[in-house]
Parts: sequence; structure tokens; C-alpha cells
Amino acid sequence: MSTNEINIRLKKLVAGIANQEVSDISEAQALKEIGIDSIGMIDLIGGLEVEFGIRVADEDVGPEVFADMGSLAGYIERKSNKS
Amino acid sequence: MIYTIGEIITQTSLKTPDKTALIFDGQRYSYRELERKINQCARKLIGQGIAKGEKAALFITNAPEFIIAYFALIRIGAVVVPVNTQLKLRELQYILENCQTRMLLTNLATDSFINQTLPHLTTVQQAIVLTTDPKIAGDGRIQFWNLQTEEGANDHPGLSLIDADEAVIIYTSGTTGQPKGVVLTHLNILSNVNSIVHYLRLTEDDNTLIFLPLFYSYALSQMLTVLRAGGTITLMRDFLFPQRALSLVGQEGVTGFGGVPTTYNILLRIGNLPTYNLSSLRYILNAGGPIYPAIIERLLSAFPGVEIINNYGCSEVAPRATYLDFKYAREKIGSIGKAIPNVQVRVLNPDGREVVPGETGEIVIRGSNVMKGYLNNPVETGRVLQKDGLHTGDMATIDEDGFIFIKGRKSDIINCRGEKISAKEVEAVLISHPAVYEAAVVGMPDEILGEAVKAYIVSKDGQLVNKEELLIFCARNLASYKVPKVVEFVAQLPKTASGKVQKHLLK
Repeated sequence: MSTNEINIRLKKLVAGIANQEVSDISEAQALKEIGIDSIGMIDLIGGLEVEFGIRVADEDVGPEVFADMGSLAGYIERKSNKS
Repeated sequence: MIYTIGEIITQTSLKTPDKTALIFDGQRYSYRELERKINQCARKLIGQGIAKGEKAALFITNAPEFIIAYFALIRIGAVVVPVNTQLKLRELQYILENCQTRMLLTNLATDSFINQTLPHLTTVQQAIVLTTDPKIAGDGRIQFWNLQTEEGANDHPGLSLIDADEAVIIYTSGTTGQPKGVVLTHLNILSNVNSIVHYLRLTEDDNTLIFLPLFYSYALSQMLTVLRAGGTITLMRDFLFPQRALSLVGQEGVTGFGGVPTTYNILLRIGNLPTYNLSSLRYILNAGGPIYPAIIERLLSAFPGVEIINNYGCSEVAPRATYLDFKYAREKIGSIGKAIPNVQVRVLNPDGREVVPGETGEIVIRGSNVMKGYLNNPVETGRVLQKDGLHTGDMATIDEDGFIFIKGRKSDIINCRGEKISAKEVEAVLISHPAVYEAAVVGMPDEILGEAVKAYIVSKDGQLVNKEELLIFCARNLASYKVPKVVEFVAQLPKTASGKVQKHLLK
């Protein structure tokens, strides 16, 4: 999966969870700023597993990976390349 | 004996000045340091001309700045209005106009807040942005204060306050669709703090982890009770990463924390829960909404040896009214227990008599913790504050041993993840969408949220509206927790002959 494709699919997933327009989301934006809260985080982790076929380990659920759209896209790319 | 909230920290700072009062992001603040920062902030606020009895809004996310600003305002006799930082402009405008605050303190030093939201807050004459990094320019009303490095006079402002003075106004969802300002005095809050310290047996050895937002009356109560006991607060920005909360328990020697049912639904999903060091943990509190007995059972298994304590209250009682003593946790599972010390809690039937076991009635509360009233709202105040006490609108039964069990609410309020949501407020936003003819909003059981918002929509003739578009519209006008989780389009709503929507048929 290309970086561009990951970004597009991730934006769509996050927009759906936070009830936002895809066009309103930028790659540098913090997830919290977009409106992802603790409940949204559960939906997001489940969504990542379905949308990208990756398994999000408990220890990965932290501010390093889930800081913003860019850090999360990078994580998806790394996990996708491993599997 | 202390009579006003501001004395809480002063007292401990004199007794054990070097004791850690607050831990945030690995940084520690002693009572002496916190006292000094509070006095500095109080002096600066006096310099801004804020007078006793004047209202000031706190629009601050979890950070030391919240605690410093809260106590500084309280200490100079101002009335603190903590505001939910998730609110959207329309909601924020209503609250600030309702309580007529001219001063707002915030730590949201973002371009969107300063340049898009603040210009629309017309009642605010002074906005104080608490930040260590003042990069964003704003209009002339804005000042940037760095409470971490400020120097200046730090002696106690020494104003004369009494326990009957107003201290805090908490906004809570109202059945009419607009939030109501619950006015609490120093006495209301302190008497509740003292009762909680007593029944939780809090001491200076306690370390309370707070991850709920401090603008909630529940989290404010956690903050005040542990400080009253001379203990330590371990503060988190939020509960976005629950694993970090568990790590902090071991790292900082946390002895207790409080959450809402949703907190526990989330924690119990963490696969490697048993690998965390939770040996310092003594108690876990639930409040903010009814918790399913099955969740309590799972908590008892997941946290062996930890006291799981179910509580009940509301902002109007500053905020605690009952608790279930841990010794009855299994025997009376699902109960909210009995009254906390110094509070009377009765379940009354419509005739005003106490119910017998099995009969349902309304929870009515008396005590020095019961609010003064709703701000500028004598009608609602008179409706709930009656001769026999505060009528909560919560329906309950008692068992033969006097333990109370919640059965539901009299009013059209949805309890989603500990937040009370007015169905009418959500309906009003839905109906303002150009393609919506009618809307009815109800609470539906939800495994994680407790109750989720469900909307039934009748669209205008010939107009198409899709669910996503409607939810985006809601998200622009309502805080995220109020946005419906489920939307169902129907041809018509069930109604009585007089045209009233029969919501019981929609649940």
C-alpha cells in the first residue's frame, strides 16, 4: 500500500469516527484536535485493524503513535510492511 | 477547622510545606510551591480589577494552570465557572452570557480558539491565556500569563470570606434544553469534601490519580478531597491512553482513582491488565452514572484486593450524596448504597412519604451540601428545591436493609459516559437542519457508553438527507459526546392524541 493511499484511507476512517469532513483534516493535525476522544480511540483502533489489517498492540497505544495523523500513518506503513 | 475552600492548600502548606501536592508530566509541585503560585496568580487577578463576587470562567484542560487559577480566584472571593472545553461556540456563548462573565481564563493557546472562537464571545472583556509559549497574536482583550515562571508578590491576599459566600457555578444539562448554572457556596463544597475524606478514609499518604476533566464537578471533588487530606494529586491531561493511567499507578504509588462507567468499560478491554503494577491501589470509585453489576463483578476480579466503591450524586449536591461501602460490594451489587456522612438521602413517593421496599420513588436529598439554587432561574430552583429537600428527578427503590437502587430518571435526560445530555437540546439542533421536519432523541443502552444518543428523524417532504451529513452538522453545533451515535429515519413519530411524542415507544 502506498503512503498516499494510507493517508487517504486513514483520513476517511478518522473523519467518520469524529463526524468531520475529510477535506477538513490535515496530515499534521493532532487526533485530539480533530475530535478523537477516549471513546473515539476505541473505534479508531478497531477501525485500523479492519481497514488496514494490522494488529495494534496495547503497548503501541500511546502519544508517540497516536499524536497526529502523520505519526499514525507512519505507524500503519511500518506495520503494513512487516506483515 | 476551615471555612473556605481557599484555606485547603494554605493549611497543608503551613503544616507540611515540602510534601508533594501535584505531579503532572513528571514535574512535582510541593504544597509550598503551589501556595506561592496561587498567591502570585491571585495578586495578578486583583491587579486586573476582579472583585469579590464577580464571576470568572475557567476554560482550561487538565494542567497545573487549572488548579492554580481555580484556587487563586476562589481565594480572592471570585466565583469560578468551570466550563467544559469540548463545548462548541454556540454552547459556550450561552453559558458565558447566562452568567455574565467578563473574564475568561484558558490554556487553549491555539489559533482556532484565539482567532476564531474568542472574537465571538462578546461578554468577555478580558481573556487571560495561560501558556508557556505565547506565539499567537490576538485582539486587545487578550493577555498571556505564564504561571510557571511568573514572579511577583506571593503573600496571601488575605480577603475576608465566609462559608456562605458563593464559590463555584457548575453548568449542568437542563430538561428544557439549555444548561442551568448550579450555584455552590464554600459551605456546600467544603461540607461535601469533609464527608468524602471521612468515608474514603483519605490521609496525607493518599495519592489520587485524576484523568477526568477538572471542569467536571466529580473531578473537582477528587482534586479538593485529596488536597484536603494533605495528599498528592497525580494529574493526567486526559484518558485518551488508558494504559498510561495504569502505568502511573505503579510509577507514582497511586492509591485511588475515580472514573465513570465508560472508564471501566475501556479499562477492562486492556488485554495485558494483569501485567501492570497496581500494588499501591487501595480504592476505585465509580460515579457519574449507573454501572452494570456485570462490570462491577469484572472489576472485582480484575483488581483483587482493591475496594470498588459505587457512588451517586449530582452537581446540585456538590456533588456526592451516597456510597456503597465496600463490605457490601458483592452482597448489594448494583446499589448506590446509603447516604454519605452529614447528608440525608430519602426515596419519596408522590405523597411525600418514604417508599417501602419494592416501591419506586424519587431521590430527595438534604444537607449542607445542597446547592443555593440555579443562577437566574427561580422557576427551576423552586421546582427542585422544595421544603423536604432537593428533588433529584432520579427514581429509585430501597431494599429491606435500606440500600438504594436507581431505576431511571423522571426527566428527558440521557446519561452518556457520565455526561448528562438534554434530549431537547440535541433535538433543537437536529430540527435546525433544513431537511429535518421532526426529530426525537432518546437514550439507548450501550455497552461502552452506558447510554448512547439515538435520533429518530422525519425528513421534510421530498428532501433527502444522509446520515453522515446530519452527523457532521451536529458535530459543528454540539460537543462530540452529544452527537447521536445512531440515526434512524422514520415516516412519522409515535404521538399521543394531543401531539406529544411517545418516547417510551422509541426506546
